[in-house]
Amino acid sequence: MARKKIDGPSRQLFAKISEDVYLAAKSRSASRRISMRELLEEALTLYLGADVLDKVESHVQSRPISEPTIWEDEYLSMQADRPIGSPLELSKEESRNVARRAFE
Amino acid sequence: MTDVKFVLDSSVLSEYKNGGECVKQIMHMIIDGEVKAGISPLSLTTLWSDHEFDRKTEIGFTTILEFVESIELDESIAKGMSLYISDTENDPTSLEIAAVICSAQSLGCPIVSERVGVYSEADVEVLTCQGYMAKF
Repeated sequence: MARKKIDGPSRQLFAKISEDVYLAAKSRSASRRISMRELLEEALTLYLGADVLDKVESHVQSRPISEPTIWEDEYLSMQADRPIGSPLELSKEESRNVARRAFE
Repeated sequence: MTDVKFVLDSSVLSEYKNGGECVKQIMHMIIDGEVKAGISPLSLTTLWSDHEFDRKTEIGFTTILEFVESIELDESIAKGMSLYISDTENDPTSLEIAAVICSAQSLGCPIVSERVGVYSEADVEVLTCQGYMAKF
């Protein structure tokens, strides 16, 4: 799952939340292949309404578009730090994506 | 009966890692399942023993191998290899070259390589990636 880089100002958020809500959100972020950060930004933006949404969209549009490399993916980044010979578990489609982009 | 269309050697994967454009085309065809390629386990030995081999390279090559058929180093290939390694026994890459030649002969298909010169002794068709793409 590729994580998009944060460009522009950002703030760190820490909150203790219900485990059920956390697990449901984690599952949704995995199924949509977006990070928890992106899911939270989307959810908060929707909650805050149209005015804020316009501001956020104009901010997002002003960000430079940079295609993340596969090594920005959380799992692959962790795998890249492991010793040679460590087992690698990827689905066929994930393998196809890595095989195409590993040496870009 | 195998549907392998050609045997590729370690030079093709090395060149893919280095970003060769023609090699990229052929590798993407393999990865997308448009053509089936085979590889000798001894080509993997050559790749894995390269002094620049690191974990990221391993991840890249390992995923590619999901889409390439590993050719079994059987008795007939092992015996046939002796014809090609007798006078180059001190060169470990000669083992790979011998295995690639005999694997291609056994399957009745060409070799695709980015170092065709090393196969001058081979009684089998040898093509560069560019040469294969031109024929495809």
